[in-house]
Amino acid sequence: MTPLPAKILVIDDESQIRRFMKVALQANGYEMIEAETGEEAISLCATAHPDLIILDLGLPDIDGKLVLSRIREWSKIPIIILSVRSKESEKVELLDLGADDYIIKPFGVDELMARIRTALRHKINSEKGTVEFVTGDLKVDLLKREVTLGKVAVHLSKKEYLILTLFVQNAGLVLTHQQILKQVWGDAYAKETDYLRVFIRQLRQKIEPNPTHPVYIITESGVGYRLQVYER
Amino acid sequence: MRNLQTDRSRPSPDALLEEINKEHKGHLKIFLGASPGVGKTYAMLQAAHALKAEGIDVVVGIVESHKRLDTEALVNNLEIIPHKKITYRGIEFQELDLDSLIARKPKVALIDELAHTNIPGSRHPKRFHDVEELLANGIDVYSTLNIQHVESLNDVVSRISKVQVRETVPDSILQLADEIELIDLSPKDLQKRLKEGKVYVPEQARQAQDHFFSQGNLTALRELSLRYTAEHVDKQLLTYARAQGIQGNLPTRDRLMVCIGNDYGGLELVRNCSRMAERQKVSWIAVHVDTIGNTDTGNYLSDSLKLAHELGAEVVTLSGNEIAEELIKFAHARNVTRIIVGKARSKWWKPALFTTAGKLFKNSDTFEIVMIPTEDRVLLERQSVTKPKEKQHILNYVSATIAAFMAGGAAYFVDMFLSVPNLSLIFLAGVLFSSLRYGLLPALHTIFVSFIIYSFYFTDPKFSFDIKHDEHLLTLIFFVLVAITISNLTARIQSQIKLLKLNAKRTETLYEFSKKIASARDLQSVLRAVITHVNETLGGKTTILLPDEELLKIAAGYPELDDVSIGAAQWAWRHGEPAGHSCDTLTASPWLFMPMKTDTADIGILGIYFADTGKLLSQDDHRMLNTLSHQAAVAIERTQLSESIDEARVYAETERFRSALLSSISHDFRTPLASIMGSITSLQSYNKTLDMKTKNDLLETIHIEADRLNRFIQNLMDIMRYGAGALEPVKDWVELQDIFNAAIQRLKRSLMDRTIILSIPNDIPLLYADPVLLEQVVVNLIDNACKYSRKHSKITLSAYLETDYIVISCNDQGKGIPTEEREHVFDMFYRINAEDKQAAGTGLGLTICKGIIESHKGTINAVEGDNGQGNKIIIRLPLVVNNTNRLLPADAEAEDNL
Repeated sequence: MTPLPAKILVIDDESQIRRFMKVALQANGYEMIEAETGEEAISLCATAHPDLIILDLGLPDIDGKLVLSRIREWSKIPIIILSVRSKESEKVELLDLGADDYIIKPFGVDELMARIRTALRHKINSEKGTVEFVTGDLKVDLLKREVTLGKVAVHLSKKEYLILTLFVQNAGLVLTHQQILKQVWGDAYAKETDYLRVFIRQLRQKIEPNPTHPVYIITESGVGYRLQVYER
Repeated sequence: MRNLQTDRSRPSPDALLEEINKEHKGHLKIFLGASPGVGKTYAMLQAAHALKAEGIDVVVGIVESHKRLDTEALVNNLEIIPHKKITYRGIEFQELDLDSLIARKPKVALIDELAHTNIPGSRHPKRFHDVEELLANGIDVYSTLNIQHVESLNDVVSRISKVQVRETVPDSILQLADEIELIDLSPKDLQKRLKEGKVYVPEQARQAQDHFFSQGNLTALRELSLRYTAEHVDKQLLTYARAQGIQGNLPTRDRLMVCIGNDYGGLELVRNCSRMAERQKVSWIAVHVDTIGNTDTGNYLSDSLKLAHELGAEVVTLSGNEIAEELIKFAHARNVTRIIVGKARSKWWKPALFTTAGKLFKNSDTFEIVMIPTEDRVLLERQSVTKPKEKQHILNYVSATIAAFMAGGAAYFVDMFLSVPNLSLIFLAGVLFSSLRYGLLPALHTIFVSFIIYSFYFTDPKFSFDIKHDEHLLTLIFFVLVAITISNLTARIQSQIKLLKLNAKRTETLYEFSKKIASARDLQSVLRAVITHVNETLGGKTTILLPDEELLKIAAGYPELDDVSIGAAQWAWRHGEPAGHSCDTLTASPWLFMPMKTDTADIGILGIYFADTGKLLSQDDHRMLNTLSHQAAVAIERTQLSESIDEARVYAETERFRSALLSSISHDFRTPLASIMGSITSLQSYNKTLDMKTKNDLLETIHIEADRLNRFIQNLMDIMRYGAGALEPVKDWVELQDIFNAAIQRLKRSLMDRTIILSIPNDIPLLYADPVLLEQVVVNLIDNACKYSRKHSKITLSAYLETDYIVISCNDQGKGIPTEEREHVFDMFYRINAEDKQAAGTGLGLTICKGIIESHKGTINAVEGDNGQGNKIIIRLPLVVNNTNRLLPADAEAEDNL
């Protein structure tokens, strides 16, 4: 944990949501600043230098999508989107536009805090680079290119390893199908989701203790996958 | 006896009705004069002032003062409705402003010159039409009229005065008049006023002035007016008598029939008959027999029929070949007592007895035949009207000549080999051929040529034209007779065939049309059928206007109408009568608008465009259009009825949906909210006294109920999207295992100790489906299973491959669904009583499942659970073959392991 409390900008027009978020965030040792409109958020982002942004999509003035892309023009600050179920295509679009993660309303506080921690950690990790990654019993040594489940070494094919490292680099964050397909197979394969399904199935067979009930590679319906991080 | 008497003194219902109708409509008073200058306008204005003095609301609609000071003074003392300015051919005319007058709605309106013809572009062609509209609007009208303008007296007047009057007023409008005041002035006084310049005479009439205003003329016209007024008074008395139940001389049940040909005399016959009918107070019918050979030269026929219609006759056109026969048949059928025919212009070759009139005369056992000598103006008129003479094709004559020569050649050969006493018979063959084939004139030509050949070559002395024997002359006459008989017979048969064909064609097109519109399912196809049919039969453009929220709008056909035509269409719609071209109203429009009416309702307007505005619609076409617009109206009404039934059904469905939704929101949403509120208030109030476990229980309740509320909302949103047709799956390749896991994850808290047994084979193929929607299906299935089964029971969720389908099933251990209710569980808001009193939910879950599965082209059914336990929902989704099964082994296993 950084010595200074992380500053989180919450952009939501509902005061009740901001109120309980403030309680929860402060309880977890974060500092919270808030914005009601998109314009206000963009200027606050530039002046107050938050460490993370939580962006609600239904803003009264401008489209949340626009807020995201305007911030992304000059900042790599982690952004978590607040959205509702059955707007999967919108979520995918925003993730592809550069949002780091999303959370579905209504949500529990625990879930929110986990996402915030993941996003903040990702920011730090991507800055200093990861050599070894551990979640639960799964350990990935990026230097030695070794994957172990408990004490057992796991043998992965090249593509499987490539997918896993992509997950590790974005540990805890959701990756859209397109993002994975483009990174691993190239732009031409962005639509071939059936490839991805089959590889994920194979990967799960190798790294999940119970492949039918995966605990590491979690499916986000209609959006993508997430590598679940279990904190020690 | 007594009854009979009371019966007799009872007023006739028809007469009463007539009186009542008159009371509701405006009253018409006509100031009738024998000639211009008798002071009608002045008398009318004085009467108006008398009314004004009584406090009655009188306004001047239109009065021509002709710059006479005393008249002008009278006009200016009254309220005047400003005239409407209409520009026609660059000149500005002042006309009566009908709309303003109706809007002003005075008690009495003064309308001068009843016979006036309006400037083209006005609403009605004649001023008396304006008056009719005013009366219909309940406005009393005072108007002026000269006797020479009365339609039925028109030809009498023109005979007396030798001046043809063009502006006429039908007698029917005079019959409308409640009062006719005769403005009488002795001829001497009138002549005096004329000399003093007190009489306005239009420029163009100056030449005729001296003759028109001669003493004899004026006396005759005066007598005519007096007699006409007296007749009118008589009629009023009769109406009154009948209304009061007083038995007067009841009119006999006579019926007159006037036979109209296609010559000028028709107009005179019609006027005569109208007068006769009026005098006897009987109804009359104007009949024309349409034969194929007859062509209406110079529009006399349509003019006569139109006039007859205007004068109040029933107009009938019959078709047939034998005019007299058709007339008699019709007259019998309609109980005609007297037939009026024109005295035929008998021709030297056609004795009077063989004319139509003659034939009628011969068969007049039950009828009275009145022959009226008509002035034969046709000869005069013919100069201007060139009859389109049927061109005898020159080839016919060539063929006729050849026939004669062939006969000659044949005769020559026969003469060479046989000794035939009379070779002329061979020529008869040629004559027969010509008359059968080409008609009378070419046949005569054949006779002529044959005769030359015969007399030149076959008779002594040969090579000369001399005829020595009388028998040859006899042969010649015999030949001519044969030719005439045969060609007449042929012509008649041909014209009959033509007539039959035409009738058959008419019937056929009408039959085709009714078939077409009968099979048309929706409004648009009915309209299309009508338009196509009218276009085909009449040629040109057609449009259909239907009311759309009280406004007439073009529903199909030609999409544009000019302002005049729109006005005409609206008039036709408001009055339920035809307007525009070929009608009495708004004739400036090139469109004819026929109202489409059924027996019970006005449906719309059918418009037909006439490129040639001069050509009027024939009676036949008019009747055809009448039939057609009625059929169209019935068909349109039928589709509208079925549409409104559909609408009503949809409305009922919507209503049912709405009320179910309301009850769902009020009950199902408040239940979890009640738990949440209850738990929260408990926590707030008893925070200090509650132990930790209770607090956690309350918090857990809040969480579970909030989850449930969230699911309800999701279901409601899905059902809305489903109802709006927006539940379009966004398909992708999905792992069924993932779907099951996500659904169970979402329901984790609501399972309440129920165990879910998953059964999916490892090698189950990927599904091509919408992952989010499919997850919702599984969530709803599990949720539903929970609702209808006890705690601690098992729910089995399985998936397997079945040839072309992937089957998903969900089996609970509840008490199951009764067989008869199984098909209903997918209906919206359908609920069965839940196990252990648990809230039954929105009744939407399975409906959404069905919607989603069907949008994936799959099926969903409820069946009895395995081993007869509980309920089982079975979903079949079509298997989509992907290319990974082929590609993957090579791709995946050929890769180096790490």
